[in-house]
Amino acid sequence: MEESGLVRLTVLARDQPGELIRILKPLSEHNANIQGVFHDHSRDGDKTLATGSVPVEITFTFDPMMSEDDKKQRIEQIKKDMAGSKIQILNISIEMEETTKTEHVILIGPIFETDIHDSIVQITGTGARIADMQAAIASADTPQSTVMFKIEYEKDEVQAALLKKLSVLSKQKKLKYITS
Amino acid sequence: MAKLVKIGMAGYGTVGKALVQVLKAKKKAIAEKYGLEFTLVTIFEYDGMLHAPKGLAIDAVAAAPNIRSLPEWQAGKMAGDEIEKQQFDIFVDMTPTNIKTAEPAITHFKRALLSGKHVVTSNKGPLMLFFDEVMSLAKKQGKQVMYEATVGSAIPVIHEAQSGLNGNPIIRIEAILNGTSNYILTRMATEMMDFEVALKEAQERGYAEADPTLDIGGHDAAGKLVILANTAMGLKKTINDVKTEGIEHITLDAIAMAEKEGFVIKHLGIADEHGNLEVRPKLVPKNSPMGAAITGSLNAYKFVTELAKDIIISGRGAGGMEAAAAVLSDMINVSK
Repeated sequence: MEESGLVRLTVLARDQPGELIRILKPLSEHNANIQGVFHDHSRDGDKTLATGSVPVEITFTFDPMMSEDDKKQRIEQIKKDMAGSKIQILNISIEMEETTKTEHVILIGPIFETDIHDSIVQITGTGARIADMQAAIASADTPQSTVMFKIEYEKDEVQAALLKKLSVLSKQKKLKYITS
Repeated sequence: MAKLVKIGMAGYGTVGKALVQVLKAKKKAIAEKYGLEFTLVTIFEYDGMLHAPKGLAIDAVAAAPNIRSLPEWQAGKMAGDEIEKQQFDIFVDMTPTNIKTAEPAITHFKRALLSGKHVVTSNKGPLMLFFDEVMSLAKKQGKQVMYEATVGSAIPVIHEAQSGLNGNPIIRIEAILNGTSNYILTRMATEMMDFEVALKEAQERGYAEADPTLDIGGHDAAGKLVILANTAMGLKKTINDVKTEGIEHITLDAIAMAEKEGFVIKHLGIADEHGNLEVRPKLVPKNSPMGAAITGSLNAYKFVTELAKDIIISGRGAGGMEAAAAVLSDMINVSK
């Protein structure tokens, strides 16, 4: 998983004029790029919140060229500045997003004679998806069949499971495999 | 006044002969630049030795079509009995690699070290099987074992692994270690030539041995990987710890499918972050530094380092003169 860079900050705002500008000031001072502001009136009457207050969720990003360390430092500074301005932070998080990774795998040998459907089921059983497949079936000219899979996955654990599975499959079915 | 360094060498094949030619040609330059005068006192062969305690006449040796015809030849005198008795400073082993037992070289190494001689080698056998034992003995004896020629010939990968990257640990190695298998894979990819045809061509051009098993089966690369990884990453592996797979099963269809997806197939030796060693065919992005640019019999070495990320070195990794250049470099370094 990789960070999308979207920061989700929820603060408790007093329901009074100028409050939003007061809240956004520490963000603009640290070059945050505001993506959205949401006043959560669904919690009107929530007795856990101070009277006349409303949670405000602000989403923002930083310059994508900024280093991760720099972003983290700025978030810490924003938290400090808000504390100094007596703005109560209810929650702050950096949103994570899953990125798709690709592994190419070539199988060589008796692929069709050893039930290719079963091989595919075993490969996808690791959590990986087969996004594309090319095949060349053995003939008099080419005694070995060759198949190339383009495999997609998100989590590193899936890649580890996939490589383990390929090792087992190759022994079981006397296949050779080449990975990227 | 140049420092006199006496040399006893074993093996007078392609590398041994190239070294004698180099010692003859570079004598003056070595004396001027490094202050060293290498004097060859013995050449051990499988059936005897050429020996002169005060030094062989290098011009006569270099010119002789067969050293057995020279007056200093002593038939039946073998290295195993002679190394400890003779007076020389460096034992240079250029005998062929014995991948199964490392004999007789491993015995020669031990006798040389125990009798106070440094060892310089182009023979991989003793180090791919007994790396830790040899290095421990050398340390105990206060002598050095130098082996630049065993991996990549004159490409200074061992030097980089030993000291060139001091303070910047190598955490992973990926390498194309065998010129023969790289030549075959290159020809398959560029000419769409079947494996068997490419192998035959490699043999005809002298890139592959009559028995190419060690090269195409990945065993030669595995031995080199052990030596390099032990040196670079402080491991104590032997060739028996390397998962090895050859290239003999690779089809033209596999080459074509790889090409279509932007890859080339390379026979890579990999030492990973956990110290696992393997040699196997891998799909490498065509445009990467370890990809299509490493053609023919070239070798390439990628060190992934902690501080400077990837460092890549490539060049000609085989040949008598290349190996002799690496041996000479070790002889100079050990004599300084």
